[in-house]
Amino acid sequence: MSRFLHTIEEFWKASLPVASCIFFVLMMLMPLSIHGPLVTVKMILSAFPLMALCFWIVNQPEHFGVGWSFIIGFMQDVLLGQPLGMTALAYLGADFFLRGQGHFFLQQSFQHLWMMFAVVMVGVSAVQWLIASLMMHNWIDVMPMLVRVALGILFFPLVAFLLHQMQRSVFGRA
Amino acid sequence: MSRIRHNGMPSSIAGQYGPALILVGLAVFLIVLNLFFPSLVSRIRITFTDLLAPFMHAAAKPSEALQGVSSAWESVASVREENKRLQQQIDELHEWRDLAQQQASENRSLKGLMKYKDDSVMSFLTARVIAEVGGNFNNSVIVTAGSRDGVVKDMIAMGEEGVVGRVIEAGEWSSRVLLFNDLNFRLPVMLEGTQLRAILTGEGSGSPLLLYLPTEVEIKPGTRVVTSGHGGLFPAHLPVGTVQGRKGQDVVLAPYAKLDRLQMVRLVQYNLAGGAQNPLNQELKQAAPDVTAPPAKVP
Repeated sequence: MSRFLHTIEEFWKASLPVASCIFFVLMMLMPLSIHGPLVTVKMILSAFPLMALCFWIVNQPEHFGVGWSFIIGFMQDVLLGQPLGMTALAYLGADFFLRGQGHFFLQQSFQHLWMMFAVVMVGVSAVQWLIASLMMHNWIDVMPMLVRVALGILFFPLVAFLLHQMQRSVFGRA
Repeated sequence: MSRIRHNGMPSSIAGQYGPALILVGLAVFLIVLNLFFPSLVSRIRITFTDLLAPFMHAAAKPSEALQGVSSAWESVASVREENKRLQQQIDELHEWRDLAQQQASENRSLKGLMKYKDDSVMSFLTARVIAEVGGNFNNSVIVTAGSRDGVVKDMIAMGEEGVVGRVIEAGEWSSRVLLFNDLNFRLPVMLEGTQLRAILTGEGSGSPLLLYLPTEVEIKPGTRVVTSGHGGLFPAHLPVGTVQGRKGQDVVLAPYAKLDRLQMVRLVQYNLAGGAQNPLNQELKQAAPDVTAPPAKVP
């Protein structure tokens, strides 16, 4: 019985990072029927998957392999009707960057993670903008993207706090 | 918040970067595939969307419930004003009905005199919106109707008030509708009463534009814009919006449809019975042989 519970616990631990990212992708697509200034809510939601991806790569790299970065990006491309491979490539770049900063993150504070997320958010958005513009043969207006980037960076602490609480309850450590 | 731990990556270079480089190669390959085989990419995309449609449907449930509560609250709060407005609307609609009946009768008699034969067949299919995509680079929705329901690429999608977009991908269980505010959206339209033709195009976050209208002609704000039916792909006279004003050489459109309140869409099945050469006709015949059958199906 205890072995069975242990297996369940291990499965839960292994799947939580990926499940939370997939949950955020589906949440981003929810038809909210909101209008006016509330449209910014959608912009904030669209940054949630990347926030979760960054959080888990830094905090639970053994439970979030590079393959998942590709799959989450691919899933977003498919569901958002974007050019296939665009977000997958951008997320792989973010994955490389964050894992390459492993020693930097060692014993660093949340402010450093926030700063790294800001760099990743700008980089991922820039890659997506460049690929989408090249595909459409037209330079896409950067203003909505800049607003999305700013909102994403602003709301990162909220999502990171929620994920941190989740991590503590499941993995039992900070 | 937390202290950040060391990421436990394998130490050898090949072990560290090998699988990641393969994935990068795969991502680049997919991007190239978009350029040279768009129809294959579209097929891959809609197949995966079909697979994920049940999850999206489940994820949309809480928001549907929330919308129900919100609209119920709104209607309770404004019941008196709403009642007055509806009474006024009923009076106006009675006048319109009388006028429509009069014109229909006149139309019938004129067609009889001219021996006019109407070849077009149009019916509707209603589908629920399960996912809303409002990203930086595209604006589309995913609906719960696919090829098994008779949906084919290029069908026009209508909201309650007017045209909202066009089907760009039709899977077996679900379809993607490109909304009129998307940068890639194009629709032939005409200005009612003037016979001026234009192309409606999306502007992302801004209002849609009407392209290729002559600059020397004065276009009055408030002029009704409808589909032109040019080329036989789409039915004519579907309501799109009204002219808002000029923006340089282009004309800005005020659309009838409210994209932020889209819960259901009607997909227009259109067929020109006489036009066998029309590729849409052939597709329609294969996918939905009986397009004249009563529709109104909500999958």
